[in-house]
Formats: sequence, structure tokens, C-alpha cells
Amino acid sequence: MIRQFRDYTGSVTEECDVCVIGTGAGGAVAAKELAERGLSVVVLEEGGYFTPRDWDGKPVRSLTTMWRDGGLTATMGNPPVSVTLGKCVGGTTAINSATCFRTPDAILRKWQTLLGLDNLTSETLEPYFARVEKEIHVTTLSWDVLGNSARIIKRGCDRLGLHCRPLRHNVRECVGAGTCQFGCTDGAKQSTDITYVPKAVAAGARVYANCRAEKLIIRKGAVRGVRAALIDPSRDDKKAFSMEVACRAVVVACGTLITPQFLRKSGIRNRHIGRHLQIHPAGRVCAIMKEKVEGWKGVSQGAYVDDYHDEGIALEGIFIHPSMMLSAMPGIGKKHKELAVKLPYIAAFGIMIHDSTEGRVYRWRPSRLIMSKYLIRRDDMEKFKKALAYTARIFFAAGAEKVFTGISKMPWLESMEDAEKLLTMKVHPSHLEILAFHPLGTCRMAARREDGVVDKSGEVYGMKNLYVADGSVVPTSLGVNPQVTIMTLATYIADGIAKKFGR
Amino acid sequence: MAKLTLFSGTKGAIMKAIMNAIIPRGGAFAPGAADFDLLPRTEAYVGGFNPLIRLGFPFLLRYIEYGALIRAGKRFTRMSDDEATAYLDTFEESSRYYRRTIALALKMVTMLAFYDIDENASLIGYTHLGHVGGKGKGRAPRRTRAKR
Repeated sequence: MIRQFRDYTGSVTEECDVCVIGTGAGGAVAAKELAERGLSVVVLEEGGYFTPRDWDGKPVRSLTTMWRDGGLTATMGNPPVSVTLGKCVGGTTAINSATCFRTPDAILRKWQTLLGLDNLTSETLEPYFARVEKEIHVTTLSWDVLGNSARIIKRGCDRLGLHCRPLRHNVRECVGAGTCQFGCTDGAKQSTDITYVPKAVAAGARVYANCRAEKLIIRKGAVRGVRAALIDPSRDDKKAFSMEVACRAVVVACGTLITPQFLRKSGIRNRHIGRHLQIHPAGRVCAIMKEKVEGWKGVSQGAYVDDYHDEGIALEGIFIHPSMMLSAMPGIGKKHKELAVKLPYIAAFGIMIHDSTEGRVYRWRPSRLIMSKYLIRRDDMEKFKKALAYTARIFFAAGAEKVFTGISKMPWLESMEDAEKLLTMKVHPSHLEILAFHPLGTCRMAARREDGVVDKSGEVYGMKNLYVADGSVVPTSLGVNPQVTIMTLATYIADGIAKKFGR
Repeated sequence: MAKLTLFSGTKGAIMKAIMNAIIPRGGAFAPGAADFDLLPRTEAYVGGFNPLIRLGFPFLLRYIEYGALIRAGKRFTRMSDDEATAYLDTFEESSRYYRRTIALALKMVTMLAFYDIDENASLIGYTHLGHVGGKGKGRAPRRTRAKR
């Protein structure tokens, strides 16, 4: 049963074995795994519950209902970086591009060396990866569904001797509606609201949407429950009723930017809470082609180029609604209109940086605004610039007339020579327009208390029965989209909790 | 007509003038922002912001209105469409990051409202729900949805 604000008539008290906070890639997975092992589970979700019938795939409705703060969450820094976060049952999985990668082996080895996580090897995680991929139906789509931008990039890569491959997606019967980030109107995307949450409910979990966890109840060094607010989405999420959950364990999965604030507010102390924030800085390159592209036909993120992986650069497709794409491109007034009518000829591809920069989430509560800082390091900025130039090069090889990079100093490139020029050009961070979709690492897992917030089982150091199972425990950035990694770690952590409770 | 709170009175007039400057009538396609009642959509979108950011929006509008008086000798709402467009252009082409961000934010708010209307999106060749081969189901299979 999924309860929403309209179902609430007064304050609520609940008792259960495990209370899970959040229904994204971490929370929904933990809830389903624990409920299916016979534990009594209560799930709290701050956002609302929607089905594909509730949205139209357009940005306005989605931004106001499914995205946190209308999509305006950003880190402070040079420049501020917009970070996309979901706020609904399904969390960010409901608004992501459905791209699936396993954790690269090199990253797992790095975690072993850096943080002593010898429990997370490709061998030990193999059954968990397999389980997750089966649950969310990870598949490879045919090129016609991957969209024309992907095909154009493939053509450019073929001419340059690079490799463009189809991405793997968690979809079922996808016919490329192209609205992945604004709610899959076909219900094809196998986000957690479609997969894990219904299974958790079927196994007996009670899900409370429009319910914001406020504080942990802690007694004698162990967590005993959660205090929450049942919130009215029509009144700025103001508290309407109270809720109290008494439980034996809590799994916090509020997301990388919120979990640290929630833990600190509950009195958890650890110097690593909120630190080590990594976000995979991302950007977009648009090309005006001679041929008709109609890039919105097909999945929004179709293919990727991994030839620059060793340089910490990933190139991945991206195409979004024209309102958002055109607003980020130059032109106001009639100049905008001249560009807008060329939309069918615009191809787009994204770039993503495997960042070494570490930012921080602050404890700052007025109005529940997320406060974080991310000052991009020079080496990451160089990678970012190179990634834009490499993508431009591929577009020119594919026959682009003009390429837009988003760098304010040199927004339009007219030729392959311009792309080469960009590689050597000096760029300041404030010349870049940076986006981010994968915040990670703010409550990282480590073998020693001195190095992290949670231990190898996901339990918070110094607090019994308190677990974290979301992107915040992922110790470092991955260089690839993280949803499968988060889901796999959540499955692993849930498995440990179930065993601890004798299931 | 929906009652506006965020964009009532002067704030609404400034927002309208901004939208008319960003998407004026004429040019590559005839209609402009002035041909549609976009404020309710804009209000719906801005209403979804964090309250603290939302509170800042009227200050941004005043900054545009009176900044124009200081920089161009005329309040923004008293400028012609061409003058207003040229004024906002200075934001977009500025070397200062915050001015470019203001231009981006205003364009985003305007375009979200304008191209949310299918009729306008089709003017630029966009067809919502592209579906490769027009095969879209348009709804989720029942078996995958949770009981409410």
C-alpha cells in the first residue's frame, strides 16, 4: 500500500523491524530486499507518488512535481553547478536517462587500496549486480531507438577511428518517447517506482509518500526510530501531521546531498559526513547538421564513446526538451527564433568528467535549501574543456556545420580547426556551464572509522542499527552512471541487515 | 483566469516584458510570447522552487526593471521590444558569470512556458512524444504499477 497526503487524516504511529528513508536507487532496493526476507518494513518518501498516467512527459509538470526545487538545486562554487535530483517515489531513478553501467573493476580496486574495502570485489559483487540487472531489466536497445544523435556520433567516430557503442538501459519495450527525464509516459523505464517499490509493497512494506523524515530517535547508542512529518505538497511541503516510527533498524537513503544533513541534524558526528562530494561534472555539445536529425525521437541518452576513459572523460548522448536545450544556447529575441527553427537539424551529445575535485555538503537548514560547495579543480576543468573539444571534433567529422560548446569565451566552433584551437585555449571555470547528475561520496564507506562514515556493512560508525544505503556511501566518483552501483550496494547492505536479523 | 500571486501587478508586468523580449512577435515564426497568457504557467513553474529562491525572484525582476534605468536610461517595461531584447542581450554576452546566469534563468522560465504549448513547439518542428515509428503506448502496462 502506498499512502499519500490525500490519505492522511491525522498523526500516524508505526512499528516495524526496519524503517527505510527514501525510495530511489538505494531506499527502494533495500526496502524490497528486506521485505522479501520477511522483515516488517516501513518506507518514508518526501516526494509524491505518481504513475505514468500522472505526467505528460513535458518539463513544466515534471519539474514542479518530480524534481527537487524545480530543478534548481545547485552547488556553490566557481561556477555554481546545477545538480539534478528527483523528489518522488522512485527518486532520481524516475527522472534519469536509464543508463546502466556496472562499477568498473579499476574503481573497486581503488576502493580496496584507498579505503580497505576488500569486501567489494567484482567476484563478491557479481551475484548482486546480476540480481539488480534482472530486477530492472537491463538491456541493449537497437540503434533505431537510440536516436539520430547517437547515429551521427557513431558516424563521426567511425571516420576518426574511435568507438561509439550503444548504452545499456533499464527499460522494457522502449520505443523511444524521448522523455526519460520528465517521466516515461510509456512506463517503459524500469525505475524503482515501477520495479522495486511495487515488489516491496507486495511483500508487505508500508510506503508513506509525502512524508519527510525529520530526525532519528536515538537511545543508548542505538537508533530506535524516526520522527517524520506528513507534508502537504500544495502548501510548500508544510508539515500537516506528525509521524513516529518505532523500529529496530533504520536505513537512510535520502540521497547524497540530503543524507549528510539528516545525519548531522540527528546528532551523528563524524568528520567525513558531508565531505568528499563528487558529482561527475557534465556538459552538452550541440551541432547544427545539414541533415534532419529530430534528436527527440529515440531515448534521450543513446550511445557512448569510451576512447577517452583513461583521460577521465566519458562522452554520452543526451537530448532534452527544446525549451531547456534552446534556453542554454545563445540567442534572445529574433536571434533565438532563427536558431529555434533549426531545431530539427540540431544533434546533441553529452560529456561527463570522472572528477578528482571533492566538494562538501553543509548543514544549513533555513527553508530546507541544500547548501553544498564544489570548487572545480584545474585538472578537472582541463578535462572538461578537452571533452567538449573531442565531441566537437567527432561532430565535425560527422559533417556538422557548426558546433555549440557552451564555453562563453568561444561558444560556436565553425570548423575542425576551431575544435583543435579550443584544446589549447586557456579557459577559466567561469567560462563553463556545468551540470551534474551523479552526486556521490558524502557518507563514504570505509574499513576504518578514521576514513569514512559507514563500515563495510553500511552501518554508521558509532551508531548501532543505523545504515546508509544511497549514493552517499559510494566512496568515490565512478566515471560512469552510478544507478547500478548504488542499487548493488543497497542490495549488499540489505543482505547484511537481513542476515543480522536472522533472515 | 487563474489568480496570480507571484506575478501579480508590477511583477507580472515586468515578467511579461521580459518574456516578450526573449520571444518577440515576428521573425522566423510569427507568434511571440505576447500572443499567449504565459504567466500562469510561469507561476506554476516558479512556484515549485524552494521558497527561499522563490522569494528572490521579485528582486531579480526589479533588478532587470531598474537596472535598465541605470544602464540604458529607461525602465525595462518602458522599452520597445527591440530595446528590451538588446538590453537582455547584454546579459547573455556579458563576461560576468552572474549576468549570464540571469539571462539563462530568464530564458529558461520563458521557454519552458512558451514551448510547453504544443502549438508553439510545432512551430520549430518539435513533435512531443517522438516515439520511433510512432509506436508509443502512451501509458504503463497495468501489471507494473503498484496498488495505491
